[in-house]
Amino acid sequence: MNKRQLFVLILVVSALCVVIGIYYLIPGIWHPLTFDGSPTDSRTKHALLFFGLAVIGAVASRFVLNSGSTPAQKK
Amino acid sequence: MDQIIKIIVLALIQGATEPFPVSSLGHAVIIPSLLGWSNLVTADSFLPILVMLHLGTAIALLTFYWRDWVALVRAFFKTVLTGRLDADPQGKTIWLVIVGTIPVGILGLVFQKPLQTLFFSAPWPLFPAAFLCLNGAILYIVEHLRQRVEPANLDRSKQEQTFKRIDDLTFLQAAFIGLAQAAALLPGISRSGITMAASLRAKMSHEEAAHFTFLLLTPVILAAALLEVPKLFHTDTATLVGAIGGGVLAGITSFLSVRFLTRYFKIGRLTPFAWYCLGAGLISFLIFVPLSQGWFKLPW
Repeated sequence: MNKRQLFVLILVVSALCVVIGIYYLIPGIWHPLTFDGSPTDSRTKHALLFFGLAVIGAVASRFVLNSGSTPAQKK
Repeated sequence: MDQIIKIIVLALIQGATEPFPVSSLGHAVIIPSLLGWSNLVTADSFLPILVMLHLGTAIALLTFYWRDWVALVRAFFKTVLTGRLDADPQGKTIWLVIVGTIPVGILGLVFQKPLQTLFFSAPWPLFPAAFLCLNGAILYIVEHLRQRVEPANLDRSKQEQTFKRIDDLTFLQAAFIGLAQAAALLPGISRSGITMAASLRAKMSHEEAAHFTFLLLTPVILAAALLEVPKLFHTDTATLVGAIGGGVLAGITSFLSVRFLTRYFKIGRLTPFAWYCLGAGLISFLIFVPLSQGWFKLPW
């Protein structure tokens, strides 16, 4: 897998994490991997976790794109 | 007075056993059971105290490694703003810590409550005692495997220099070490012990493994404590004061423990802790099995 492909993959995963995070915020629908309270409750902690993963992924994608090049080459 | 004594004992247990590879959660369950303080860890009235104990430990770790954390936070912002890992000398390290924290963050959020319900609902801590034995076995095996690959003709400090430093880790290795840390959700498995064991398997030196372990521990313990802080708002003043006192005591004990361990692991091994866990776990198990069967009762 080259840098470009890895960059796109990470961005796709990050976008998925945003979607999953929003999914956990919506009340009234079944949320998997919840073991306390009702599975249809809105889950703020789960949502924050996935939003956090999305942010980490977005940052990591830049590292992948910029890896191997010097700052001078980047300019 | 009874409450104060319990807080002091819990604080000392938490403060000492969190950094040591002997399972703070296991001790926090086993010792109160031996003392006749059943369900202490899960009692509603003690939750604020437990929150403060963990907060004290986290603050101790932050304080001991404050120079590291200042450099790591600076490195985080520099790497994020420039989009380059090499923008700061600590750039790779902070992202290794972040990657190592992700698995335990995910698994802790999902599985902590059901595991607590499963293992803490039993009247006697048989599972924590058994897991403490398992913890000892893991530490022993990992240390044994390490000794087989150490160069034989060098003294201990030179042997350690042949192994990796934190920055030599790959991100995949950091992720696996983080995944190992998640095993500490099981009471009796030490967070610091299993993380150090995984770091040694990644061919780090003992000193660097301990350093990386304590860096990984800090955000996990801090996040877990901060998420529980809202519970303190519904606490009476007397309990809150006791909790803060306990937190300070736990923090001091943790600080001293970390200071000892960072020196110890320059050339020390996990083996003594392995034997302790095996022995303590086995003795606890041999005490709790008859108690759970009603063959005898504790005199207090």
